[in-house]
Amino acid sequence: MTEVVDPRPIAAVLISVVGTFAILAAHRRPNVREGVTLTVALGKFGIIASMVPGVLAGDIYVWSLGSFVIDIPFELRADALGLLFGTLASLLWIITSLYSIGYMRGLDEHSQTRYFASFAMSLSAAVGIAFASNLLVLFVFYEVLTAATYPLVAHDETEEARKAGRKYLAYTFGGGVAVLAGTAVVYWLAGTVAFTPGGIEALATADPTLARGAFALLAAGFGVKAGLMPLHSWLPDAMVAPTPVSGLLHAVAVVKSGVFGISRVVLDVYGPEAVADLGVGLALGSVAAITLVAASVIALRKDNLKRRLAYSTVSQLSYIVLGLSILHPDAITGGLLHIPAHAFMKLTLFFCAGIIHVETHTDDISDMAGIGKRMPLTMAAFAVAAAGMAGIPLVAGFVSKFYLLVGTVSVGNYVFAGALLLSGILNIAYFWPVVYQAFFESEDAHDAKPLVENPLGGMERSSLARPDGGRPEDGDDSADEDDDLDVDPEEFGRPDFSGSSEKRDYSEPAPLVDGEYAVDQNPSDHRVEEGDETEGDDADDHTSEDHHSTEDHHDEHHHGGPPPSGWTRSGWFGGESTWFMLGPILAAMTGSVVLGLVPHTAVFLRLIDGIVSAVLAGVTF
Amino acid sequence: MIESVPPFVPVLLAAAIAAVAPRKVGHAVGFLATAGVAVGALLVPDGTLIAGQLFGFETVLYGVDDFSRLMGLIFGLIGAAAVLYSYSSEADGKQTAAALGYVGTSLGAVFAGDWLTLVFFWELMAVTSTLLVWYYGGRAVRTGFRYALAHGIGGTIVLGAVVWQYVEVGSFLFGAATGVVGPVAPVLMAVGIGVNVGFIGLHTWLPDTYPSPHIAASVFLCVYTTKTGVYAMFRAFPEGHLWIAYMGGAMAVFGASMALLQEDMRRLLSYHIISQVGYMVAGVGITTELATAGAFGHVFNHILYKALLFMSIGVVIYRTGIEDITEVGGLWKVMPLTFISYLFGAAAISGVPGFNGFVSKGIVIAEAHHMHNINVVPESIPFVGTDLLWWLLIIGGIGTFMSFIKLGYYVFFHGPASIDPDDAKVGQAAPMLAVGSLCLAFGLLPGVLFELLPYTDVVTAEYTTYTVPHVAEGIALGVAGFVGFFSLKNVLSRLTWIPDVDRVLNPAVFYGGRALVVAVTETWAAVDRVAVAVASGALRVGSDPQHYAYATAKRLPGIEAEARPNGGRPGTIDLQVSMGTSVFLIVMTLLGALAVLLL
Repeated sequence: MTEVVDPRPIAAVLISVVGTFAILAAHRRPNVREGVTLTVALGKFGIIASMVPGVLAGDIYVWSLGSFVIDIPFELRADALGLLFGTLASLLWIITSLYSIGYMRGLDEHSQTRYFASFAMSLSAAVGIAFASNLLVLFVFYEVLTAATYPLVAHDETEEARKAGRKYLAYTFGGGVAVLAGTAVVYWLAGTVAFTPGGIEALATADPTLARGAFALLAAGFGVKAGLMPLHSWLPDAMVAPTPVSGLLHAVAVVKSGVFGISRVVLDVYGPEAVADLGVGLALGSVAAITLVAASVIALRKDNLKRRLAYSTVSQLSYIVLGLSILHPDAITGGLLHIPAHAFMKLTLFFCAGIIHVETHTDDISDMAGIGKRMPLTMAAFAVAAAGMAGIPLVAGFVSKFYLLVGTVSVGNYVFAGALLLSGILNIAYFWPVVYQAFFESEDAHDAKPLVENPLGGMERSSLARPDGGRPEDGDDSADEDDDLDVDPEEFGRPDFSGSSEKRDYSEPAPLVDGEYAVDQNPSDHRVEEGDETEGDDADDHTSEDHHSTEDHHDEHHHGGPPPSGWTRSGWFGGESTWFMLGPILAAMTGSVVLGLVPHTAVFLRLIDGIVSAVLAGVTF
Repeated sequence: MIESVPPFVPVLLAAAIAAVAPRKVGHAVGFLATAGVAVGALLVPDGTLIAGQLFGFETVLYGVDDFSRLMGLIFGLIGAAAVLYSYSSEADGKQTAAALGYVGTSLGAVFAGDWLTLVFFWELMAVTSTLLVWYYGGRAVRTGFRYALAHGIGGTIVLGAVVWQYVEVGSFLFGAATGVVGPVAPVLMAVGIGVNVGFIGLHTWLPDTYPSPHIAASVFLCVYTTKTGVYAMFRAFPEGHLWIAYMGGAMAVFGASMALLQEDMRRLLSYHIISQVGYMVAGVGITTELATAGAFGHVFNHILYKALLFMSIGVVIYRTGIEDITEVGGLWKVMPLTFISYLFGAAAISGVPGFNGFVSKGIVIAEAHHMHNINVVPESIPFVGTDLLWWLLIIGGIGTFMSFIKLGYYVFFHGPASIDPDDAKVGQAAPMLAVGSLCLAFGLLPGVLFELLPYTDVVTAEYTTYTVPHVAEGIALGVAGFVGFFSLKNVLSRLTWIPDVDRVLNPAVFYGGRALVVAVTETWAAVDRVAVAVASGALRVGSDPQHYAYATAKRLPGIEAEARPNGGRPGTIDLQVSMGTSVFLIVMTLLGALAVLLL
């Protein structure tokens, strides 16, 4: 492990800061602005990729600015673990930028300059996190990431978006405070907060109670971004952001930075041995195992596709944390390998959700029957990525899950192994219905979704309007009764067609029907009632919001679903959408398959082998 | 060349071509690929042919021994017949592509030399067969989803078993240990494979799924999953295991009994698969080499005649559009080719002397005859075996005869033909008659069959097919079957309402699962509501503490809230304190913090 002084770590961070300013400067020329994003993304990936061969050979690239606080230096260090995250983030930024171009222009979104600038800044912070050489520098970039992603989360500027943004800030800044507190305690206990493979020596011999306390603070602080229950609530609400942002949040940068922070704490601050000795590994693993299963269970009930994916993310991130908490090389390998594996698969899934939104304005799974005709490439990519999530071979998810299983069983932790196995089955249960209804069911004859909310054997549904122009078929007749208002003609006067109108006093406001004006009971289609979308979201969305228990729900804010004549058939050659969006989807899907077939050749597993052997040097099994 | 290309490669390539090429081209390529695999299986030498590393673990991608050779041969052979049948039954290219994917992944599984590769292909088999079922649409979509869940659970348990095996042994290679070892892996493996072979209680997906898709898809489905399961069971328990043998016997009886109660043609055949697989599982479970050879012989033969039965009944469905045996009848005169194919298949499956089923079933039953584990009759009685297993297999044999007499009677006899459908097309008749003749040929020339089996020497030395007791047994079973069916015919037709365990299992799993889901989400929602309430409450108090101080003070006894200073605002209490009190409070807090840190 030779340390080489090299400006590339800081160059990788700064290139997108420069890019941010260039994007802001190019706000009047959208094509130039997008060109800046892509150039900077390619440059960043180039710089980081150029460091990979050296690191695989054993070098570590260091760049230091001298003392920052007390004697803690402001130093960036590109080691194997940092490169794992850095390579992943920068590679996926290229793909996400291409997708963003297609998405933002496809929806003709506002404030695109602010969007792209914040994106660049977030990636800068993410790479800073990757290359941070001690806890304090990591904390600084962690907070910068939160600040830089706020404009992205609240991009829509609606009340719901602002609420989600506030919740995001509350959770993540709170997490940041916990990280800072934990850092301070570690510094006090050990005299240093620098990352040392295998753990800081002094911490292993420090007072166990305080060491556990510091670990709890650090794990909780990073666990907010890593989506550990019960700190995960911000994630599903942040789905209000545009889809590439969700992709960024869930796959590229934000949650991965939380998990990365935990991996730094476990591997380079405490070290796996100390984590096992202190018993905090078991506690962390238990939280992760519970999150794993509970989040998958909750996902079964979600009708909104992005929310289902959000809970899937919460569940999958806990695979990583679970792997890290177990003292065995295969478990740690599996956990670290899941970082890129999940990133590729989840990015594919989110991009599919986004392209469906752009092309058809459909967000709910119950409207997506037969959509495989309209968007075959998209749904095929969705099927592949979903298979990977369930741990089907050929896709990356199988490899990481397999290593995790070997690791957990090797140390005798059968409960964790059982949780992992159960999660695979739950993944099939909540992803397969989306896939089969897209390709093998049709708009006018499919079973009601989510499956769990409907009777055994399914209930037949049709998403197409009835031929008489009435409301969509629901399979029951009570819809007819709601067609008319409950208005009593005696009270309001019968219409008078005699030519002379009855005198009515218009100085008073109209009488209320059921507590609101008659004219508002069925709002016109062109207005989207924001109140409907935000009702009850404070209590989170687990209860009745998301499943269609009332027929009225179809009217309120559903512009999604097939057109009246059914989905139009697009071929398999890209006629369904722009290649700005299809290309990244297929690229991400291909990445997940490549990683699933040859993880060593695809660099990531080699980096991970290097990390694990460095961290576990001297530990016998 | 044969040594360097694993058989799954050409078949999966054919699948890719069939998905996009015109129907004729796709089917032709598929036929050639599968037939090529069958020929190749006969020619390829024994041994480990392609070893390597998968994900950093040592694996054998392509290994050949007598067992995998046999599986490869029969999988290729029946695959070719089924592709031809598909083409003729108007299956489209994409469906056959899914079927070829299924065949290819099955070949990958049976030629694997280690557990990791086997599991890899096992999961892919489940996916490809699910796609094959789903492709048909309609009712098949939901059954396919149930199928996917069942196989997901089975595959997960097998994955767990493989991981436990690795932790116990340190390697995935078959050669590293005798089967699966340790306290946990054998149990998990038996249960996981049990899902695929249809252990009683784990079998409900079989009769649910197999009748639902296209008739040609059913032909593929009936072959690969269950037989790969038997093969894997052998790899897991090469020296047998008594409990598995008895489960096999129980399956033989259960499958035949349930088949007797069915009125849907393909459902009857599906239950029967369970029965016949029971014979194979019993053969694997019995510890002798002859029994294992018998089991594999039965795999080979069963694939031939079960595919033949599905094909011939498939023609009936294809031509009449009817799937219920009570709605057809008298078809033997108007569909003679189909009827003869059915006869061959029924005779073979029942073990009529002269057909292949008689040979392999005879071996397994003969080995059961030698067992004295759970004796149910005294040893002094001649001709009959003493062990429970023998009796289960014999009763299963009678049940088999009865079920196929039932099916044949209702479909082909049972009154005059009320409809006059065309007979099988050439492309359907050709594979049926070819397979049927193989059934007869292997029955009349058992020595040829023995050459293909593992442990050939043992078989030829210890077993003679056509002995008086064996033939007598076969005839006795047949007579009992005829008598049994015709005497119980009316009773059985009134018992068709009897349900299978999935009547209980499916609602239990569904509603139980839903209860769990709702419990978790509602609990979480409640926790979240509490947390949000606490947070917003704290926020409210913190933003206007004077108001809340007043409200609290009003409720406390003995304190006059109105009398407190309120800075001119009614309803609040002024919370400012003097310098002295402030200093006092700060000092107390610091002392408290110091105490916590020191203690």
